[in-house]
Amino acid sequence: MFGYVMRRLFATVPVVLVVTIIVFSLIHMAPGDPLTLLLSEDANETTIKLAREKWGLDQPIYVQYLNYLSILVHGDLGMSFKYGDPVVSVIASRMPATIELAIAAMIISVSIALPLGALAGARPNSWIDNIGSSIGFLGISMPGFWLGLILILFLSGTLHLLPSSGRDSFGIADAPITGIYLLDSLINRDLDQARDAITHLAMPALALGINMVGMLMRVTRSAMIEIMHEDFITTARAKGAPEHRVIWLHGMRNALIPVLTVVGLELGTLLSGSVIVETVFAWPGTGSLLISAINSRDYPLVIGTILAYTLIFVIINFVIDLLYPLVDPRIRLA
Amino acid sequence: MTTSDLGTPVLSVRDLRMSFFTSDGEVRALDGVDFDIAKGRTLGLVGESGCGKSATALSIMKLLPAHSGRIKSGEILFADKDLVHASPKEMLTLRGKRISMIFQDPMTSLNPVTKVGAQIVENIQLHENIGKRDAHGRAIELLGLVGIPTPQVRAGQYPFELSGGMRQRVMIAMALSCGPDLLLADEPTTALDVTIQAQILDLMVSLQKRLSMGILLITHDLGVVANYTDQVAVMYGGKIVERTETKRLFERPTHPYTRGLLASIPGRQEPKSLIAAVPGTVPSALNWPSGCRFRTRCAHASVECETVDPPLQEIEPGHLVACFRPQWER
Amino acid sequence: MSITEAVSTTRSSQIKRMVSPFLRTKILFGGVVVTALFVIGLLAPFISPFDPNRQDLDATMIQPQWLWGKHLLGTDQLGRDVLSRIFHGARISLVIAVAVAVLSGLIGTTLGAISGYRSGRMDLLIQKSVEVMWAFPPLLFAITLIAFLGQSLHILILALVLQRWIPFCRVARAQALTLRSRDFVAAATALGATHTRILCSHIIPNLIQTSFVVGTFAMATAIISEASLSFLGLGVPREIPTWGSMLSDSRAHISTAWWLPLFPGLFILVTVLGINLLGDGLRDVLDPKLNRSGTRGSL
Repeated sequence: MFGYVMRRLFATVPVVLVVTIIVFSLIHMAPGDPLTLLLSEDANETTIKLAREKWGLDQPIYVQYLNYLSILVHGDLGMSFKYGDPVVSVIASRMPATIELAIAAMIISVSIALPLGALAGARPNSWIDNIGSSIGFLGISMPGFWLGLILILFLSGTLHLLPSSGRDSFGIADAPITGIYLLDSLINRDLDQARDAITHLAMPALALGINMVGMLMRVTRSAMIEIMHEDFITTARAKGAPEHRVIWLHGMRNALIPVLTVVGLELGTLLSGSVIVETVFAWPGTGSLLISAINSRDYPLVIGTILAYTLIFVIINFVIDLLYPLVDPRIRLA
Repeated sequence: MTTSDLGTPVLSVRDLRMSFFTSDGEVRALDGVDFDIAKGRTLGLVGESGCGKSATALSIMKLLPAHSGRIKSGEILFADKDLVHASPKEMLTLRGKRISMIFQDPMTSLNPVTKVGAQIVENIQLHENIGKRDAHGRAIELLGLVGIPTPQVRAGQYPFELSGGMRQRVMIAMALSCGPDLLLADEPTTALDVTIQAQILDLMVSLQKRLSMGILLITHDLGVVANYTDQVAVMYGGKIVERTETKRLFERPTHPYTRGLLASIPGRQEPKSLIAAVPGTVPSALNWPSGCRFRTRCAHASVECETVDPPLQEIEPGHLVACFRPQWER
Repeated sequence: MSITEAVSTTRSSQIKRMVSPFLRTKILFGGVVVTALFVIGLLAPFISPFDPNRQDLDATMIQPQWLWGKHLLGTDQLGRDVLSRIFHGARISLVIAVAVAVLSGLIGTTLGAISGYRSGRMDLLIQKSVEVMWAFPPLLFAITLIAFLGQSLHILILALVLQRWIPFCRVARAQALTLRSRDFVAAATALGATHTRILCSHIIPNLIQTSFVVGTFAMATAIISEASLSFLGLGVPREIPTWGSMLSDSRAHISTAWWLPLFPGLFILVTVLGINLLGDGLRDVLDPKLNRSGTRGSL
C-alpha cells in the first residue's frame, strides 16, 4: 500500500515537469522577445535589466530552463500587470471559488449518474434504461456552456428563480474560513448565506457537471450490465438476497472500480470545463481569471494560472488514486 | 429431524418442463424431469455438458435468467409447497435458508470486494434475527466446521487471498449456515485440483450426516457418482433416461447411453484398445430428434424409437429406464 | 446447439436485444445528421438566404419568423440573419472537425501501429508521451497554446490535433499488439517482408475500421472544443461566423433575444448527438470492446 502511494506520487512529477517545459517553450516560441511577454509595458530600464539577469536571458536555453524551474520552485510567479499584485496571491484568492464549483459539479454528477446508471444497467432495455441511456447520451453530446446559457435564459430570465451570475449577492459572504462559501456558511450556521450560496452555485454546477453525468452514466451502466452477469451475483440471489440488495451491495459495489477510473479521467474535462462555465456565469474563479488574463495580455498571470491548474489537476488525480485502495481490496493488500 | 425421518423425500420433482426462449427459438431445456431426493441421501445427476443438469438446479431455485427462462409445467414439491407456483417473496425465504446452492467455480462465485466472513454473515442475517457479533461468531464456527484452519483470521480475508479449495469450503460454509434441508451442488469440484476434490466431497458427506440434508450432486464425473451418491439419475437431452440406486447403475446399466458412458471410462477397457466413445454428438437443443432423443447415436434404435418418445419405466424395482430396447447384458 | 450453448446464446441474444432496437436507429439517425451537416456545410454559400456578415441596422433583433418571413430564425443585434450564420458556422465546424479527425487519425494510428508492432524503445517513448499528454486537460492545453502562439485557424487545428491523436494511438496500438502475433504476419515475415511493408500492407489496413469509429468521436469532440474556444474568443478569428462565437455574442442580449443563444447551441447539440450516435452504432457493430480504451467524451 505504501509502495502504491509512493509510486503514484512519483508519477505526478513527470507531468508537472512536462508542463513547465511546455510553458517555457511557449514563452520562447511566442512572437517577440520573452521580456515583452513577462514584463508590463511601463517597466523601466532597471527592471528590465534585473529581469534579464534573473532569467539569464543571454544564457544557453537549458540553463534558462533550469533557472526558470528554480524560480518557480521558490514560488515566484511574477507580478500581474492587471492587478498589480503578485500572481500567486491573485490566483490564491480565486482558487477556492473554482474548487467549490468543481466539487459541486462532481457531487451533482455522481448523485445523478450513479443511481441512474446502476438501475439502467441492472435492467437493460427497461423504461428506466431507455430514459437513463438517453440522458447519458444527451449529457456527452451537450455543450456544457450552452446548457448554462439556456439555464440562465429560463431559470433566471423567464422564471426569475435563480440569479444569473456571480457567486453571491452584494457581498453577503463575509468572514470566509475555507473560502468555500457554502461550507463557510454552514460552519457559521448562517442559513441566509447558505441559501444564497446554493442559488448561485446551482446552475453553474449543473452546466459544468452535465458532461460528466453523461459519461459516468454510460460507464456505470455498461459496468453494471457486465457485473450483473457474473457468478457471484447468482450466488447472492441463491442466498436469498432481495433484488435491490443484489443490485446495490453486490452489483454496484463492484462497479465502483471502473467508475472511479472514469471519474479520474473525466476530472481533466471538468477542470477545463470550469474555464468556460466560469466565463458564462461570471463566476470569480481561476477559470475566468485565465480568460481575462489572456484578453488583457497579462502573461505572468496567464502562466501562473496554467501552472496552478496543472497543480490542482495533479493533486486531485493523486487523491483519486488514493481512493482506489478503498474500493478495491486487491490493490489495498497486494 | 430424527433418524427415523431418514429416507422421506425432501424434494420431489414431477414432470418438470422448462424452456429458454431465445431469439433463435424455444430451447426445450427440460422436458419431463422426474426424481425425488430423500432426507439424508444424495442423488447424483449426471450427463454430458449441456444436457440440462444445471438448468434443473436453477429451476428448483427459480434462479433462471429472468428474460428467457420459464418453467412451462410440472411440479417441484418442497416442504409441502409447489415451488413452481411459489411467489418471489416465498422463494426469498427459502433460498439460502432451506434450500442452498453451491456452484462450480469458487473463483468467481464469491463477491470479490467483500470479506469472506462478511459474506457468510450476510447469509445468516438475511434469514435470522441475529446481531452482527453473534452472526460473525457463527461464521467463524462454520469456517472451522468446513475444515479451514485459523478461521478467525480467514474470516477477515478477501476471496482472492484464499486458494480454490478454501473458497469452495467457504461456499459450503455459507450454504449450510442456516441448516438447509436441501443442498444443490452444481459440479462443486470440477474446478478444483484432483487432490482437493475428494476432500471437499468427503466434507460434504460428513456435513450431510450431521444435518440430515438431502443433496443433489450434479456432475459429469462418473467416479464422483460412484463414490458419493446413493442414487443416480442419468440425463440426456433434457430428460432423465435412467434412474436407480448407484450400485445398481454400475452393476447393471441398462440404457444404451448409460452403457456408453460407462464403457468410455478409461480403465474399463483392455489396455491399448480404443476408448469406446459414444458416437456422434448431442443434437441441437433447438431441434430435438423425434421420438427418443438418443436414437441418433444409439446402436439399437428401432422404428419405434423414431416415433415415440420412450417414457421412464420401472424395469425392475427401484430401477427406471426410458428406453424401448433396454440392454440387460453386460 | 446444446443447452449450455442455449444459455449463453440466451445471454448474447439478450445483449442483442439490448442493442438492436438502438442499433439501426442509431446509425440511421446519426448518419442522417452527419450527412445533413456535410450538405449544409458544403452548400452554405448557396443555400443561405443572406450573406452571413451583412449587417442591416434597420432589421436588428427580429424574432424568428419561421416560415412566414425572410428571417427564418431571426436576426442578431447587428441585423445579421441568424440562419445564414448558422449555415456558415456549419461549414467551419465541418472543416475543422474533419481536418482534426483526419490529421489526428493519421498521426495517431500510424504512431500507434508502429508502437504496438515494434515494441522496444520506440514503443516506450510513444507510450510515455501518451501518458503525460493524456494527463493534461485538453481544453486548457489548447487555450495555453493559443494564448502564446496567437489566434488563427492553423493554430486552432494544431492545438486540437495535439490532443486528439491519443485515442487513435491507444486503439491502434492495442490492435497492432494482437495482430502482431497472428499467422499472416508470421507468414509475411517468413516470406521476407520488411517491417515497413508489413506495417503498411498488413497491419494498418486492419486498423482502418476501428480508426473510423474513433474518428467519429474525434469529430464530435473537435466540434465542441472549437465551439468552446470560439465562445471564449480564442478560436477562429472573429470575422468568420461560428456557432461558438454566435453564442458568445448572444450573452449580452440573453434577456431580450432568446433565439440568439438557443439556435446555435441547438445545432451544436444535434450535430454532436448525431455524430455520437453514428459512432456508437458503428462501434456496436464493429467492436463493442472499444468502449473501454479511453475515448474521451466532450469538451
